[in-house]
Amino acid sequence: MAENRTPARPTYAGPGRVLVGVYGLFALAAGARAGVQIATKFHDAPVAYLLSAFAAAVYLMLTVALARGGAGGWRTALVCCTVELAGVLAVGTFSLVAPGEFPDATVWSDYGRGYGFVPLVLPVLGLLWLRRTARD
Amino acid sequence: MIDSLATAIIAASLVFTAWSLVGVVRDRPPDRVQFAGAALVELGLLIQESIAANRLVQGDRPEEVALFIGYLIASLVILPVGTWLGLLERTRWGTAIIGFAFLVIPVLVARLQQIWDGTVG
Repeated sequence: MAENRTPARPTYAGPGRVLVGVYGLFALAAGARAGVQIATKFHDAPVAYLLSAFAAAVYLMLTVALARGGAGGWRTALVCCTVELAGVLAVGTFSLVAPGEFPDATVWSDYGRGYGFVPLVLPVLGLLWLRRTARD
Repeated sequence: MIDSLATAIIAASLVFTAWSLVGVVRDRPPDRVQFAGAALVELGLLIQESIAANRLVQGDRPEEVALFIGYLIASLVILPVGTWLGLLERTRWGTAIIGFAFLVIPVLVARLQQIWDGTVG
């Protein structure tokens, strides 16, 4: 079953399993929150709620990609982690520069302050872990 | 929602978070204290939240019912899932996962109380 591009270490074992758990929790938290907001008061802040839903989708994909591992999982995780980092930096900066555009908070507002800045730290840890698992 | 039970759940979760942290530092796999602690805290949550669910059914509800129910379900799922992941990972990282689950519980319980009291920020 060994492919040439299979990562050196599985992404789902050791510290990676902590990441799977934390990403799973954030997929649940962001997803449930976005779901409730879109269902009950979508027109109050459509951009913020859609961004939360997008963040939830990225978290969910990362949970699955890291848990499955393999070359495909590793590459998907790399793309998602990059998107996640870009997202939290862009939304975080934008929410500070133009707070009026975000009448309601998203997971990534103010660099994830509402979630103890975990959304900012998580993609960095994810990328470090991916680099570690890629090495021979 | 019983305030004293909520306080007890939060305190117990923090104690088990600290215990887990010690386990991570000492490079230990998940231990019996964590599993027993998870069962104990989960039992407390079940009692607390069946009371809340009962009051919901009887029409005594917070303003943001959907949000409340979301947090209710999440708080019941966290420890079982965390324990399951911890069982799969019999290293210090499994200890870290269960510790993280313990750390999340106080946040969720505090949020549940805020939502119930209608003081959501």
